[in-house]
Amino acid sequence: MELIERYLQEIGRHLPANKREDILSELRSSLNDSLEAQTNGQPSEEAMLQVIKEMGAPRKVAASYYPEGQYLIGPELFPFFQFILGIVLAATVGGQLIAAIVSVAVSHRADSMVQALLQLLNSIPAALGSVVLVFAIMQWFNVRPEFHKKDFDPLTLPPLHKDKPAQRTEQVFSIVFGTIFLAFLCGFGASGGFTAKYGVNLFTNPVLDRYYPWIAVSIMLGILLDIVLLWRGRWELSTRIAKIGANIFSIGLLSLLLQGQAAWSNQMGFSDFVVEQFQLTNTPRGFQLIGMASFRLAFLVALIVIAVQTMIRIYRLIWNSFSHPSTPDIKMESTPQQNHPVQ
Amino acid sequence: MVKNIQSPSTVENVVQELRRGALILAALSQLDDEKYGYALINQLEENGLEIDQGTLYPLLRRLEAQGLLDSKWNVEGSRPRRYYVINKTGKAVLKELVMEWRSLSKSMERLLADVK
Repeated sequence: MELIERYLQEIGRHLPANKREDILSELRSSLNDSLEAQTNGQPSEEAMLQVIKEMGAPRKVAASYYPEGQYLIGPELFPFFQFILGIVLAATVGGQLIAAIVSVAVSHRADSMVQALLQLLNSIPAALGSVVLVFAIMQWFNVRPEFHKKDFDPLTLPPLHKDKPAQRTEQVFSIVFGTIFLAFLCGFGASGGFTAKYGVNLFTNPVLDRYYPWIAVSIMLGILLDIVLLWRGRWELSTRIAKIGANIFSIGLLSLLLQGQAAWSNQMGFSDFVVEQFQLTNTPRGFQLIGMASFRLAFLVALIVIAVQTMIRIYRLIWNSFSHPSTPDIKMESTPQQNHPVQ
Repeated sequence: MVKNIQSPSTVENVVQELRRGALILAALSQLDDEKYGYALINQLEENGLEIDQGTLYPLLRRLEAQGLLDSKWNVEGSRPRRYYVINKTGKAVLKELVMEWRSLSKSMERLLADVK
């Protein structure tokens, strides 16, 4: 009989505490009935093994007392969980990024940005954990979202998406590289200015040094927008306008940087031509000039790329507004041939 | 040639799914008089319906939780046993279920008439 008790003990480990004793008493009674019936009141070790095997593995028996399965967050709650998690994560990341932007704009210090980004790494798991905890408690107490009880009205379904789906890989790539570049920028900014090593010589870019917090703000805006796009899954009017706005901000910033570079060259008494600057290569000043010229070239390329991209975006925005005016769904029903054009 | 890709566990799962509703009906139909689990298993088996203990006991608990069965412990006899009996709500539900089963059974017979 010890084997039966060991078996019941193992089942009991996986049963809810409030029903454990009751269920185990019933199973004990049933196992003994079964054993008695099979052995005519002369239980043997072999028969006991057979009866236990027939009932099944302890975990399986215990699991069958959970008709809906054992979920941390069950299938009924899961869509609601995803919805709330999306809002909470967007609010956490968005809030932290905005706080970082404000902090940089006000203090003009790079270390405050590093702190804000580090805080972001802590706050994302904390936000995720809190939402999971709340939903796990709801699951435990069998709380179900209200919308499951409401009558479903098909007319409340959202209209068909007319916006172009966003490329997820593009957004992820952009977020990853934007974050790496931002960390790089913050690291250099925090170490007291922009310096780069060329052999044994160092050079400082005073123009970048002056504007780096605003470059960081521009990158952060881009990351924020990419997160929103990743979350929404498609380009919408609001995100198109926001992207154009962010691009215009970048164009303004790059223009300031180029202007600053030109002013610096004039102040140092050099012409704008890169070729002439190369003549000074062997001197320490020459390294700085080459560095400055490289930055200037990079700014110029970035400015042209962003300007072209912005013009395309503005063109698409105008084209979309004129060629796809929003039509009520009811109109589409009356002209079904418009939905299925002949190829 | 059609390749047989159905694993034994797939077949087992589908059969279990098919039997699930029928077992509820079978259990409710036999609990007009109070019975303990093992006796109910025997009664079902005598009528050709095999059900293992690991399935029946949780099923009886669920039906009780749904308010279709009543139960009580009886300590008289060789060992304490939990007895189950169908209640008024259970009887009303059983009536509906039987009607549904008969209608379903007729439809299924027609649908499966040509299946070889």
